[in-house]
Amino acid sequence: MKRVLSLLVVLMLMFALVACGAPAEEPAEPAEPAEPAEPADEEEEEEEEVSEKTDWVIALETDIVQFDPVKIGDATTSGVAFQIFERLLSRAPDGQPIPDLAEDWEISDDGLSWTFYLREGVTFHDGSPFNAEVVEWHFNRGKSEESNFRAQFAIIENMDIEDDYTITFNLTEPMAAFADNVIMPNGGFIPSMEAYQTMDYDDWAMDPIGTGPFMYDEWVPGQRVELVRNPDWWGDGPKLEKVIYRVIPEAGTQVIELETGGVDLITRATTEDIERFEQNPDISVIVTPAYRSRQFELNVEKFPFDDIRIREAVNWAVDMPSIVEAIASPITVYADSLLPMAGWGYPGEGVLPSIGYDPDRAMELIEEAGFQMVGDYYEKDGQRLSITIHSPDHRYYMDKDICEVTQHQFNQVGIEADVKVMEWGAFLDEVREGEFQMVFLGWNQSGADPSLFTDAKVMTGGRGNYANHSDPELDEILRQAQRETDMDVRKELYKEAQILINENVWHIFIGNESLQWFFPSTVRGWDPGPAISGYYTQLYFTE
Amino acid sequence: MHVLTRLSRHRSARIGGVCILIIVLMAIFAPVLAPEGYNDQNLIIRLRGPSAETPLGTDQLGRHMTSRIIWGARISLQIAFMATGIGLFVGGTLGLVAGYYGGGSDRLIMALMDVLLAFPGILLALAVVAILGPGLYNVMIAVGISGIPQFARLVRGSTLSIREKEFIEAQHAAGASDARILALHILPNIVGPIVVFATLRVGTSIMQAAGVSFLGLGAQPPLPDWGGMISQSRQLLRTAWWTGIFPGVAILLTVFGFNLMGDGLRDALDPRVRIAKKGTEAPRESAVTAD
Amino acid sequence: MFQYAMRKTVNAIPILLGVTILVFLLVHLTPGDPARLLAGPEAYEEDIAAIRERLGLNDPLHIQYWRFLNRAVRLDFGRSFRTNRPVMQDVSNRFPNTIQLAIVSIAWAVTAGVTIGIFAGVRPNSLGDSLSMGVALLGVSAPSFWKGLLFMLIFSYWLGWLPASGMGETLFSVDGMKRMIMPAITLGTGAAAVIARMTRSSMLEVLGQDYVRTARAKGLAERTVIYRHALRNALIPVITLVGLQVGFLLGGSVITEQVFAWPGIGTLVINGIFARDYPMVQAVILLIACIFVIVNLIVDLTYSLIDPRIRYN
Repeated sequence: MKRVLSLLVVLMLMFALVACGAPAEEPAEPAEPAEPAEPADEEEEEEEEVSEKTDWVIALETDIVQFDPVKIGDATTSGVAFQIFERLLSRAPDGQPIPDLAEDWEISDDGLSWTFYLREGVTFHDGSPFNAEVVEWHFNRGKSEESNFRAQFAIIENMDIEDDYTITFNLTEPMAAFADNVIMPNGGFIPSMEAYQTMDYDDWAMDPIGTGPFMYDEWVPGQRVELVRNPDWWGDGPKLEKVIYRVIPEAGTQVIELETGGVDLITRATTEDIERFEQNPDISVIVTPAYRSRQFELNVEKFPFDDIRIREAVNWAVDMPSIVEAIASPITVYADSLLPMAGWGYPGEGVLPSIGYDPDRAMELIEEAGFQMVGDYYEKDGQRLSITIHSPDHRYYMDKDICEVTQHQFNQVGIEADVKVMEWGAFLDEVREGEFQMVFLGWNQSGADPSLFTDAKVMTGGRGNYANHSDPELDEILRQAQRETDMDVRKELYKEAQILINENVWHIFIGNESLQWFFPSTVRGWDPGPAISGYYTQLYFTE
Repeated sequence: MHVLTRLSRHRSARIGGVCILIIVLMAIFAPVLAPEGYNDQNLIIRLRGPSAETPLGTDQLGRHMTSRIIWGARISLQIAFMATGIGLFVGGTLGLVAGYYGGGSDRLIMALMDVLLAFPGILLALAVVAILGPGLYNVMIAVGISGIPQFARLVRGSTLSIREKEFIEAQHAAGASDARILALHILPNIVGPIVVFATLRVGTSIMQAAGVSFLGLGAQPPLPDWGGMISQSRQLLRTAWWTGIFPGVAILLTVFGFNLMGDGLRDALDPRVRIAKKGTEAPRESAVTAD
Repeated sequence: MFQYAMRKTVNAIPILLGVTILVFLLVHLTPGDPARLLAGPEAYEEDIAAIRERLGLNDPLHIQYWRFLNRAVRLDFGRSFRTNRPVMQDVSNRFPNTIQLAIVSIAWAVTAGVTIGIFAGVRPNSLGDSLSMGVALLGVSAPSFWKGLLFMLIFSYWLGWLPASGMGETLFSVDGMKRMIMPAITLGTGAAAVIARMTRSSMLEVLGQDYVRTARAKGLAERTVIYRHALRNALIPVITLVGLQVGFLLGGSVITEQVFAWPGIGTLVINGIFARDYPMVQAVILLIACIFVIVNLIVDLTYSLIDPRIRYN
C-alpha cells in the first residue's frame, strides 16, 4: 500500500510539472474537473449505484471563528469559507491560478496593472448581484483599517472599474505572485456587499453570504456547522445536499468517528493509524506532500552557528531522512530544499547540493573549527559546544519527537544539546525576536509560488527570516525572480537560489508535511490535492 | 514516639508507607533499577507492546517505558516535595503572622488568600507556568503557589485557636518575645494538622503538576515526566495504550500512598480518634476547604 | 440573618476586585503577543502592528485595566481577540454546557458517594468498609485526565459502547446521555470519593450519639435507626461539603472538558490562554471566581442557619 501511495505522490508531482507548463491564461473550468481520478480504487465505476447519502460530514479540530474575509486567520474557518465564498481566481491541482469569479485576466507589459474579466450573472446567496463594484468595495476593505491583511493588500494602488464586469488593479510595483499573494489567500474571498451594508456587523461576520456552491445554514457553537446546497450556483453541481462540519478536537477521537461512520472525512491521523487504514478496504487514504516545509533553522548570529563549519557539522551529525522515515512518514516526507517538493519551484531530487549522514565527518568539522573533546563534549576556549533546540509542541507533526531524536544524535557526536519545548504563544515571541540558536519551524502556504517561501524565509529582512540569514547575491536573484514574468526564467532563477541557500547551510532540512485525507471508499468525484482539497461540487457516494 | 508507634499499627498508614517506600526507592535507585537510561532511544523498537524484553512496552522513540517510569519517580517526587515545601513555607509563614498578630495584617493576608483561593487551582498553576515558561522548576513554583492559600488558612486557623490559650497568655505575662512564643509554644502545638495536610498536599501536588504537564506546560523533554508521558500518549492511545496507562498507574500509586499516609497520620496525631471509633476523619476534612 | 448575609456579601466585593487585578496581571504578564497569534506565523509585521493597535494593546497597562474593570461591572467584557465576537456571547453560549455537566456530575457524586458512605459507615472496619474506602481513595488519587483517557480507551476504543467525545444535541436523548456518561463520571469521581469518606465518618459519629443509642435501646429495628434517625443528621455536614464541591467541580471541569472536547467554559478558557485571548480569559476566570465566592456565601449562610452561634462570630 505504501508503494501505491508513493506512486500516487509521484504521479501527482509529474502532473504538477506538466500542468505548470501550460499557460495560465488558458481557462480550465474549476467546477468541471476532467474525469476525476479514482483514489485507491481501480475498479470501473460504471456499474456503481449512486447512494442516497447526500451529506458529507467533515471533522474539524477547532470551531469556526468568524467569517469576515479580511479577518480570517485560521485554517478551520478558511476551509468552511471556501465552500461559501469564491475568489476571483482559484487554483489548479499544481497551485497555478485558474479562473473562478473572473473568467479571464490580463497583466500589462510593465506588470503594474492586472485586469480581470468577471463572470456575468453570478448572484450572492442573498440575491444581490456580483459585479465590479463589489470587487472594488471588497479590496478597498482589505486595504482599510478593518483588515488584518493590510500589508498584503497595500500593493494595490487603486482600482479602475472599466465596466460592470471588468476591473483593473493598479499595483504600486510589479509583482509576479500578485494572484498568490492577494487574490487567492483568505482575504480574497468576496462576500456580499449588500449584506454588509444592511446587516449589523456582528451578525454579518457570523452569517457568511457568498457566491459559492454551498450556503451557510446553521452553527451550533463548539459542535457543528451545517451548509446546504446552493441550487443557483453558476457552476455544475453540487451533487451533495449538505456539508456538515463537526468539531472533534482530539485526533484519536476523529479516527474512531471515521471508523464508526460518525464522520466521512478526517484530515489528521498518526502514522500508526494510517497503517491500519491501509488494511481497511472501507477507507480510502490519500497522503500528498503539500506546500508546507519543515526545517531546523540555524541562527547565524548566535554561537556556534556563526561558523559555517559547525552548521555543516550538525547536518552531518543527524540522519534526518531516516528519522523522518522512522517516526513521521508518510505524513512528513524528507526534502532537501526549503521549497516544497510539490511546488513547481523544486528542481527535483539530486539536483541541489545536500549533506548526508556521517558522524565522523561531523566530528572532523567540529575539530577543524577549533573544538576539542573534553569529557563527553566538545569545548573551545572553555566554552562548551552546547545547543538548545527550540521546539513547538504539537504544532507540526512529531515536532517534539524529531527534536528529541536530533538532540540524542547531537549528544552522540559530542555536541551538548537540549530541547526547549514551548507553548506556541511564548515560542513565537522568542523565535521572532531571534532569541534562539536552532529552532524547529514550518512555513505553510496555500500557493506554490516559490517567492512565498524564499522572500519570507531567506531574503534579508524577510518576514519569516528569524534566523537572520542574509546573502546579497541571493537577495539579488530573488528580486529578479519577483519581477520576472517568464515562467521558464523564473524556474531557473529559483533553482539557482536554492543552490545558494543550500550552500550557505542555514538549515537542517526536515521535510514537507503532507495533507492527508481519510474517507469512505464509497466516495466518488473527488480528487484532493494540496491546492484543491476543498472542491466538493462533484462529490457523491456510491452504495 | 507515641505517634510513630500508633502510626506503625495503623493499617492504611502501613499500606501507604509501602507505596511511598516503593516510589522513593525507585527515585533514589533509578540508575541501578532501571534497565536503561530514560533517554535511550532506539527507533527500531518503537511502540512495542508489553513483552518479556519490554515489560511495559516502548514509547514512540523506542525508549523502554519501564525505565522511563522508574526515572520518572524522581521527577514527580522532586516536584511534589518542592511544591509542597513552597506552599508550606510561604503559606505557613503568612498564616502564622495572620493568626498570631491578627488585626490589619490578618485581614490583608487573608483577603489575598481569598483571592488566590477563588482562582481555580489548575488555572492558577497554568497561568504561572505560562508566565515563567515551562520547565521542572517553574512547575514546582506554580504548583507551590497554588498551595499557599490552603496552608495559610490552615495555619492561621490553628494558630488562632492556640493563641487564646492560657499557657500562651502566661508566656506573654512572663515577658517572652513573640518569636520565642511562636517558635516554642505555638508551632509545636499546631504541627499535627500541618503535617497531615502537607502529606495530603504532596499527593495533590503530583496530580496538579501532572495536569499542567497534560496541558503541555510541564517538564522539558527528554525528562520522563509522568504527566507529560500521558499527555504525549493521547494521540497514540488507540495503537499503543501502554504509553499512557502505565504512567497513570504510577501517579495513582504514589498519590494513593500519600493519601493513605495522610489518613494514618491524622488518626495517629489526633487523640480524639481514640475516643471515637478508629478511622474517623470527622468534619475536619472540610477544615481545609470550608471557611 | 439578613444583616449577616449582607455583611458577607459586602466582604466578597474586595475579593472579586482582587481577582480582577490578579487575572489582569496574569494574562498581561504572560509572554506571547495576542496580535501575533491572531495573525498567524506567516503574517506581515505591519499587519501585526495594526492589529495590536486595534485591540488597544498599545495603551498603558493601567488604562487597559481601568477599561476592563469599567466594562466588567456592566457585565461587558469586550470582544474576544480571537473570534471578534462579544465575549459574553461566547460565554453565555458555553456556560450552560458546563453547568449541565456539573449538575450531572454532582448528582452522580452524591448518589455514589452517599451510598458508599452509608454502606461503609454502618459496618465500620469490616472488609466491605475497607474495600469501599480503599476504592474511594483510589478514586481521588487518580488524575482526572487519566481516568478520562482510561474510560475512553475501554468504553470507546475497545468496547465501542460510548462515543469518545463531544456533547449531544440535548441531554434528553440517547445520544446526549451516552455522551454525558464518561465526562460526568470522570469529573464526579473525585467528589464522590470525598463525599463517601465524609458520609462514612459523619455516620460513625452520629451512630455513637446518645439519641441513637436510646433509639436502639428502645428496640427499634436497626434499619429504622439508621435511615430514620441517624442518616438525617449525618447528612448535614455532607450537604455543605456538596456545596463546596460544586465550586471545585467548576474548576476541575477545565481538564475534563479538554479531554472529552466538551464545549463548555473550560475549553473556552484553555483555548483563550493559549491564544492570549485576554478578554476571554478574564471573563471566564472572573465568572468561575464569582461562582466560587457565591457558593462559599451560600455554604456560610447554610451553616449559620444550622448553627445560629456562627452569626455572632
